Amino acid sequence: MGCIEQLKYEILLSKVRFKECSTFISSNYDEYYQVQPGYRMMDVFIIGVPPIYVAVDGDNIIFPYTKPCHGTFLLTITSPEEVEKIKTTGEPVK
Amino acid sequence: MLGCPEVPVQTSLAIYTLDLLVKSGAMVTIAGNNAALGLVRTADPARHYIKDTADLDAIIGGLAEKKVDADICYVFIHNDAGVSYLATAAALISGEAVGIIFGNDAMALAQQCDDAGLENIWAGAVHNPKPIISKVNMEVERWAASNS
Repeated sequence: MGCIEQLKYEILLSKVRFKECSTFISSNYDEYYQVQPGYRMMDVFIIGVPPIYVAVDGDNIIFPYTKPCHGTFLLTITSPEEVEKIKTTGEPVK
Repeated sequence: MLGCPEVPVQTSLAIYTLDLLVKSGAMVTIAGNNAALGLVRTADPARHYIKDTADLDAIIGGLAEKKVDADICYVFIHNDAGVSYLATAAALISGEAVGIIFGNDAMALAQQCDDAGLENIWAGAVHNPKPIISKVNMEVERWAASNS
């Protein structure tokens, strides 16, 4: 999965449609934000059909990651820095 | 912007569209993953058509950071991921983004694009590009006319 492979991530959903990730986040997390396509998270740029949701759970950040041949994955990574960044730059939804 | 190359028509459709764009005076970059770019490069070994290629992730990064831009971006789509790339291109470029949708799920994917307000043309072409060729011709003519 490109640069993301160098990070320590956990896969929550695998090879799903993008909309399933948005639904999963809005149904399962108490804190999530909306970002624009191209939002940078570490070395990856988030792609997707707006609204793109990114959730926060403690120090973990949960986000969709799309590859052309494999569909969309919902990943979680522990990153206090990215959590702080989304809280200041993302648009709070819930 | 190429999608996963598993549907046979993509490579020839991409080179066909490239030829139309070059004839209309456009400078064209083809973006895709390694496999998709490998197929178009192999189909044009003397580089009669292909002048510039770019890694898909790198071009998304370049668009997001405003290092590159486009007057028109054609996104080749045959799966849900392709719709995500089209929505992203539409959000990031200053020009137009148009989906060229083919494959077995073309109609449903076109509806997804319509629902998201994304421009597209579509036909259920899988092995034979003929069903979508006339639509590509009209679309590139439309874009070229709007820029002349």
